Amino acid sequence: MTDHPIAQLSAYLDGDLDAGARAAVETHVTRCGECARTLDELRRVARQARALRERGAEPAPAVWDAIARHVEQGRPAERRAAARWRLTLTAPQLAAAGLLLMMASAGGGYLLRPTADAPRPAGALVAGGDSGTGARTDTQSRVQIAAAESAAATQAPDSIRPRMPGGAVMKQVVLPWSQYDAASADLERVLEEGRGKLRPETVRAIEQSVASIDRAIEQARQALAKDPANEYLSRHLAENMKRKLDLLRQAAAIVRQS
Amino acid sequence: MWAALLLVAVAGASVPVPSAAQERERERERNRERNRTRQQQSNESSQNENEDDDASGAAADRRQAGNVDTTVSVSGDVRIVVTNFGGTITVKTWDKNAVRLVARLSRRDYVMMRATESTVRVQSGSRRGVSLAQDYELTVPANADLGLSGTYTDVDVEGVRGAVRVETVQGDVRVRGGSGVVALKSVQGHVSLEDAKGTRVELNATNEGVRVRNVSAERLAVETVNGDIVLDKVDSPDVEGVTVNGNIWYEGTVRDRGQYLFATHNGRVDVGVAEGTNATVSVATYGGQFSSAFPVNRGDDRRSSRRFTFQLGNGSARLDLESFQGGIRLRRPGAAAPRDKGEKDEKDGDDDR
Repeated sequence: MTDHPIAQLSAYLDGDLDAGARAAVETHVTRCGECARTLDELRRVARQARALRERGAEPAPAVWDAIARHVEQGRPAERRAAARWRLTLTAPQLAAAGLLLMMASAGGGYLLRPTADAPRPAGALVAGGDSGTGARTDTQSRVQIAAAESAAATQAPDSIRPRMPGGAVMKQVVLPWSQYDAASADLERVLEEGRGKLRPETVRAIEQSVASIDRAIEQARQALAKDPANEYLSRHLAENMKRKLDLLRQAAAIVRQS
Repeated sequence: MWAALLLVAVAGASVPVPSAAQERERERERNRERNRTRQQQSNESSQNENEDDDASGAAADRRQAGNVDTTVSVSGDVRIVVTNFGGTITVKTWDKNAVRLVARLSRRDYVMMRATESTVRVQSGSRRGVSLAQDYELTVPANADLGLSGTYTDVDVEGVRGAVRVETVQGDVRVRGGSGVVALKSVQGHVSLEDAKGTRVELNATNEGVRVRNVSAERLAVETVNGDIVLDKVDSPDVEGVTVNGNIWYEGTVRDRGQYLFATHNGRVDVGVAEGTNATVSVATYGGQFSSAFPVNRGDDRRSSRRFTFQLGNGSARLDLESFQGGIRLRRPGAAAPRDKGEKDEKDGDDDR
């Protein structure tokens, strides 16, 4: 079975597909065991996430440390692989982000990513952006931060690790806007508190770089609001968000060493 | 305090007190004694260092100040680790199995050198506060592996054939040579690499550009935030160049089954590929334009005029070209590389757009 509709599964779950596309997905899923299992996994993660949110559970602060570790471990080779294999996650899956981040606090978060030998399914893509209003809420935004899995992540039970056709495994951090903002703010606070330890020109260089990335993020976000289906913009936005966390984490490390 | 004064007054009345002159003389004598002890210790230390010079292979700790010029014997494939807070680290090579360190230090600073046959460690320090700028010049065997780090440090390496790792916060990094793993990183400084044959080459700058010339590697990854990336005469099956605010210029091989990714947010992507290249070219931009010196046959890809894929030859390699708001150009090889460090090319995009 080829041409798995990976990119459409989450939209299908959200009821965002038109009748024709929805029928096509349903037809495919009845014939394709791998996609059916992936869909089931996504349903289950979304269900668990809803339950989690109904209980009022929030990711622990340690989550951000875990994210930072993930970011640091995200070597270029892994980033490239991550950039090319993504699955659209929409509202229910976004809710799942909280759950996934809870997992991250234990050592790893997850998102679709192929195993080394897995064939590349066509059309795999990153989650979309705002739904056009420009408002940023957890349920509207669909942002994922690509990051390398930690050793602990690979030790997570398979039952909570959704798989995709070809043996791909969820192994990346999914991060909603508010949580990304919190992570970003945490790291920026470290930099702010430690700026006295650094030479002004070093602080300036870091701030200039952060500002450039912020501009890129904002421009990508605005573009995505106009063109939500644009997979390039989705990926571009996610990569710049990851890049910012990466830079801030690096800056925080410099502060600690100074 | 009043009680103390009273006690002194009482004592002064009953006990002979030495005169001020006598007290000063005693203090001078104590100082002379301290100096004699220090001198003796220093002589013993110096003698030990001289003995270490002859004892190649044994660990030798040297803490030296002033003008330093010392040489230790090592094996040819020695690993050299240098940490310098501020100043410069300059490394050159020679055909001796020895490492020479020349340093000029301020009076308050010193350098610690610990050498075994296989490893030489050099670290700056200060008797008071933070170490001032120190300039290190090392001459090393050509096959040496280098690990150089600093905070406010410029690094210049010439002619090594071993692995090279450099990390500085503020300072330029310039390396000519290197093999195996070559990893160069600066937050506020230009990074350049020439004439390297690496297995894995990773170059990171944050607020300045990166320049690569005549480099072959199994994998070459270059990243910056604010700065241009110039990749000239590159031979690798796996190349990645990513910046946020800068241009990317590539001239090199595009090998069959290779992977090439060049992406910027605000800048131009300019890639030269040879006639007969086999690559599947994926183009993505939001506000930029694409131009090609080669025929573009998009087949049944009707996604967008700004996001599409086409094939050159049999499409064996994968070539991803992305610029959010800059132009993307696929050209024939032979163009002159953009100007060097500090000379910013004009960008297609506009930060404030």
